Amino acid sequence: MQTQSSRCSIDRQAHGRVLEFAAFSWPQPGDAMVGWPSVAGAVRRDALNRAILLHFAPGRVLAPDPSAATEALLDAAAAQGVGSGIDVTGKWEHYIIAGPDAARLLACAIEPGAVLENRECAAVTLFDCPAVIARTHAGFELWLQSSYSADFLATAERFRAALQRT
Amino acid sequence: MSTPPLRRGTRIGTQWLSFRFDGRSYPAQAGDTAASALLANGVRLMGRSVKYRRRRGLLGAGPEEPNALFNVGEQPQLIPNVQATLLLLREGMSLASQNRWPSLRVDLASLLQAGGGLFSAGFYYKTFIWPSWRTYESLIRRLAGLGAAPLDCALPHVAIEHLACDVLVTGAGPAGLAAARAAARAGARVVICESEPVCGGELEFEGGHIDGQTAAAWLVRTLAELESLGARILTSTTVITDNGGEFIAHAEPGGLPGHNTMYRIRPRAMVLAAGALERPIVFCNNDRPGVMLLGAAERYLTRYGTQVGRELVLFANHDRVYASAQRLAAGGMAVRAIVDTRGADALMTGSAAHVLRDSLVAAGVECLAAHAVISANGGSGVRAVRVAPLHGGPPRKIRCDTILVSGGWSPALHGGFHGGAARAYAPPLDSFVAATSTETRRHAGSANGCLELGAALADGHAAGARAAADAKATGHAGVAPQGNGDPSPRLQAFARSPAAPAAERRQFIDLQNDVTVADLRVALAEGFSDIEHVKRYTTLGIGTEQGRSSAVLGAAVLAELKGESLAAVGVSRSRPPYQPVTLRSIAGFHVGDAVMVSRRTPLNDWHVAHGGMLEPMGLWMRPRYYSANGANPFDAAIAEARQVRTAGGIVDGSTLGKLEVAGPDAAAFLDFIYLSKASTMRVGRSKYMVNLREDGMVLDDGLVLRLADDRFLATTGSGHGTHMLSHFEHYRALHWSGRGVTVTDVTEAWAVIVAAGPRCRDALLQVLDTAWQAPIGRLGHMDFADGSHAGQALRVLRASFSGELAFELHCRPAGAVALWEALLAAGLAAYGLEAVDILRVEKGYLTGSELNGQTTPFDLGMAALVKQGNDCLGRALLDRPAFHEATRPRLVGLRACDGRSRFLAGAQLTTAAAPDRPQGFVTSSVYSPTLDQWLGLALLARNQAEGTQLMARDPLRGSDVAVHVVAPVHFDPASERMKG
Repeated sequence: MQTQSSRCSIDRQAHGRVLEFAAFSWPQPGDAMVGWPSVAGAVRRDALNRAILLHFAPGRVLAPDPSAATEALLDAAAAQGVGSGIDVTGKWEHYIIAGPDAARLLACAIEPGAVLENRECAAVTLFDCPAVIARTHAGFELWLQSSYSADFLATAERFRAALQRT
Repeated sequence: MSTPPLRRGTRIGTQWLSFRFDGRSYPAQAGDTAASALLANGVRLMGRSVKYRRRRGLLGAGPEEPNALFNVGEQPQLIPNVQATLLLLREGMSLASQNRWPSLRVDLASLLQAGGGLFSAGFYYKTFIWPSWRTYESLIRRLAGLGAAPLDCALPHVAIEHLACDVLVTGAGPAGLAAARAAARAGARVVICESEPVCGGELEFEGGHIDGQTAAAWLVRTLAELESLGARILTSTTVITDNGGEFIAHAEPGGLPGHNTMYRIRPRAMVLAAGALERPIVFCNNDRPGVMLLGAAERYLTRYGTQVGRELVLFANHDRVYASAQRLAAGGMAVRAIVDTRGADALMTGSAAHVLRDSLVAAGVECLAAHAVISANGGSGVRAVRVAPLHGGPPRKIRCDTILVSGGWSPALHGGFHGGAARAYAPPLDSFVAATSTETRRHAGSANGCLELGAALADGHAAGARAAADAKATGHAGVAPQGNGDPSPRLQAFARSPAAPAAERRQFIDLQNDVTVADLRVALAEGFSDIEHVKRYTTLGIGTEQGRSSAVLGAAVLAELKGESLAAVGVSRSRPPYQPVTLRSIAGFHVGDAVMVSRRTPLNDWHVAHGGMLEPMGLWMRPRYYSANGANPFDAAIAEARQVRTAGGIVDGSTLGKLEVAGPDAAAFLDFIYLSKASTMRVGRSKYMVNLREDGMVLDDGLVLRLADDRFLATTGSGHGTHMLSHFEHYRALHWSGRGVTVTDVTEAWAVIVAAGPRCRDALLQVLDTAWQAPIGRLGHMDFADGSHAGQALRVLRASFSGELAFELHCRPAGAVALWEALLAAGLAAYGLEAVDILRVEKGYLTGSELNGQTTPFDLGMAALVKQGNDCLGRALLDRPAFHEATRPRLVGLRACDGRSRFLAGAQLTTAAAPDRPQGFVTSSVYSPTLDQWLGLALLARNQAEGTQLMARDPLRGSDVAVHVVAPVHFDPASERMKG
C-alpha cells in the first residue's frame, strides 16, 4: 500500500518474521544485555543500516526479520532469565515515510523532532494508531499495528491533502 | 455598481473585487475585510442583537467584535457567525446578516423591543410557565441562538501541527517581539503566535522610535533577526486556550474556515504578550450603529483607508484620545467634539496631550472636560449625541454621525487563563492583570499593564530573557530595546454615564447578548451578587463574545451598583476558545468515518467483497451478516444460524484479544488474575476462565491455553483486548514487579477462524495437511494441538461458543484468507455476528451484555468457580453480605409465554403484583430458529423463581410481552453436540 504526493510518500515494506522480547524487569544489570540496544529508545542496526533491534519501550525490544545471530541473542537472554521472546509475526506492518514533508505529516499527530530528540525510536500513537517510529536516512520508518493500517493510511492521506491546501 | 474612489491603507491593494451582502453587490479592494468594505460602502447596519433584535453596527475592528457576525455562503454549506472584522473578502463571496426576518432593515422580531421589560435578566426562568414551556418552545427555539447551523458540513480537513519549542510568545506587538528577540538571542527555540496577519501590534498606529530608529524600521530589522535566529512566526494565529502545558493555537488566514490549521504547542516556557482590548463606556443607546471603539476607527483608517464617519464625537477617559483625534482629523474626518470624563486639571500642563488639545481647540474642535455622553440620538444610526457636565448642568446636543468611545484597555489574558489562574486588579488600568507569573508562564507589555512603548519593550525583553532561562537556554539575551511613543494614557476610571433608572434598560454592557445595566440591577436585587452568578443569570459575556468587550465593563458597572470596588468584585472567567472556531476544527480528524479509529482483521477485504455488512464492535469492524443470506439482518441471521446448527459455518474470530503470558512465574501470575487456577492445567489444554475486578465484579472471560510450562495464551472479549492488556500490565507492574512474567499483546499476530457445526470436523480434516488430520480428528473438547494448512502452521483448539462441535483455528494473518476460502470450499458457509448472538443466547453463553461490570460470579451462575478456592484478585470482596442478598440479580433464561411475541434487550421485568417496580431486565434476546420462538437472557432478582411469569415492559419501544423464567441454557443443556 502506498500513499504518494510530490513531497511525501508512505511506502509499505515487505518483511518476514518479527519477534518481540520483553524483559521481566528493567533496567537489567549491565552484563545481561551485552550486544543489545540497552538504552530505551536506542536502535541497533546492521551493516546496511537496517534496524535489527528497536528498544521501543523500557525493556521491550522489537526484532524485525531476525537473523540467526539475533535469534541466538534473544534465546540467550531468555535462557539467562532476562525475559521472554514472543513471535509476533503479523502484528506489525512496516512503512517508510519519506520526502520533504515527511516530518510535517507526522507533526499532524506528534512532534517527531521532540519525540526523537534524545532517542532513535519510540512507541507513539499516530492518529490514534499504536506504532513504533524511528528515523531513517530517508525520513522515518514506522512499525504500525496491522489492524490499524487502513485507518492510518486513510487519515494520513486526508492530512496530506490538508497540508497541500495550507 | 459604480466604482468608488480608490482607498489607500497598509493592508489593501489596488485590485477591485466584488462581493454580496444580503443579496446586494458591493465593490471592495483586495485585502479588505467584510467590515472595512461595508463601511467604505456606507453600510453601517450589519446585524441584529440576539434578544431584542436591535439594530447593530460595528463596534470594533478585530476579534473583539460582538455585533457584525455573518453567515458566509449558502445552505447547505453555510458557515455561521463569521466575524466581519476578521473575514478577508474574496471575489464573489456571498455574505448575509443574521438574526433577522424578513430583512435586516425590517425585522418582525424586533417588536420584542416593545416588551423589553418582560425580557429582563432571567426572564426565561420566570415566564413561559403557563400553560407549559412546550407551548412556546418552538417559537423560542426559532428566535434563539446566533446564525443558522449548516445543513451539511463540507469544510475540508483542518490541518494539525504539533510543535515543541523552548519559548512560546503570544503576540507580536512591541512587547512580544522584544520577548521573542531576547529569548532567541539567548539560544531558545522560539515560536511566536500573532493573531493579526502582520506583526507590530500598536506600532502600526502609534509610530514612535525604538533604539534610535523609527518603529517601522525597528520592526523590519527585528523580524529579520528573529528569522535569522530560527524563530518561527505564525501570523493570523491565535492561542485559543491552554490545556495543561499544551497551548492550542488556531490559524485561520482570511478569517474563514477551510484553510485553517490547529497548532498544539508544547513550550518549556511561555510569554503572554497578546496586548489589551479597548473597552467601551456605557451610555444610553450606546448600541446604535455608529457607536464604535476609538481604536477601531484608527485601524480602519490606517489599514484600509476607510473613514468610519464624517462627523465624529470622541468620548474617553484618558490622554490618548487627543492623539487619536489628531490622527483621525488628519485622515479627513471632522472631529466635532472630544468629551473627556476627567476634570480640566487632568491634562498636565505642557504634556503632549495638553499641547495636542490646544492645537485641536485652535482647529475648532470642542474639548469638553468633566463631561460625559449621556445618550446617542438616532434610530438606525447615530445622528447626534447628548452630552452633559458630570457635576451638574443641563445636557446639550452635538450633531455627529459617529461616536468613538474609549474607556481604557483590558489586558487580553483569556488565551492563557482558561485554566483558572488568578488575576489581580491594576489601578492604572482600572482592569486586571495576571496575579503572578510562574516559571512556565510570564506576562509582558500591555497584557501585563505596560501601556507605554518604552515600558512594554523593557517588560517584554525581561520576560523573554527569563523565559529563555527557564527553558534552560544559556545564551545572552542582549540589551533591552529603548523606545518612546504615545505617553501614559493617565486613565481615570469611568465605566458608565449617569442615567435615570428607566433609561438603564438602554445602557448596554454586552452588545451581543443584550445585557444592560438594568439587567445587572435586577440580578443584584434577586440575590445574585457574585460576578460569576451575575454572568450566568444575565448572560453577560456568554456565547462567542466571552467577555472580550463586556467582562471588565460589566464588573465595573456591577461594582458601582454594589457600592464596592472593582478589585473586590473581580472579573468573570471566560471559556475557551478565545476566538470562535468551527466544531470541525475542534474535532480535528475525528469526523465522519474517522470519528473513531477502526481496526480491521486480515479477512476484512474478503468480507467486504462478499457482501459482509460490517459494523463496529469496540474498535473492530466485523461482519454483522452477509447480504447473500437474507435481505435484512434478521432474515440473514436466522439463515446463517440455521446453517450452523444443521451443517456448519465459519466466522471471523480474529478480533478476540490475545495476550501471551510468558515466564517462570506466568502460571502463578494467571492464578492471581483469574478466578480459577491456570497452574493446574496441562500443556495442550485450555480452560474457560473468568477474572474479577478488585471489588469482586466480573471483568472479563475467555479461554486460557497452556502453550508450554512457562507460556500461556489468554483470550479476551473482542472489544476488551486493549483494556485487558492494561489490566494485566497494571498488576504485573504493581504486584509482580521483578517477577518472572511478561505480557505481550499478540492479538494481530493470530487470525482466528471459528468452524462450528456438525460437519465442521469433516471440513477441517479436508483442509488440514495430511500429517495433521489424524491427531486433530482425535482432539478432545478444550484440547488444542498444532496443525498446518498449505504448509502454514496452525493452532487448532476444540472449543465452542455456539453449543456445536467447533474448532478455533489460529493462523498467521498472511494465511488467513487461504484457510478461510479452503473451509468454504469444504462446505462450510460464512456467518456473522447476528448469528453468533443467536447461537450463544440459545446456549446461555455470556457477552458484554451480561458481563456489564455490575455482576458478580454468583450473579452469573459461576459459584462453582468460586468454590475452587483460588485466592485471586477480587476474591476477598466476594464474601460481602451485599453480594448475597435476595435482591441481587442472577442470570436466567426467558421465553415469551406465547412463543411468538418479540421482547428486546433493555426491557424491564415486572411482576403482576408490582408493575412499576422492576425486578430485573432483559440483557439479550433473539429469535431462535432452532426452537422457533423468542427467547433471551436476563438479570433477575434471585427471589423470582424459575417458572414465574413476568412482564417484559418496554415503554420506549411500546411493547409489553408476557415471559416466563427458565434456565439460562435453552439448547442442548447436556452439551452433547459440542462434546460429542
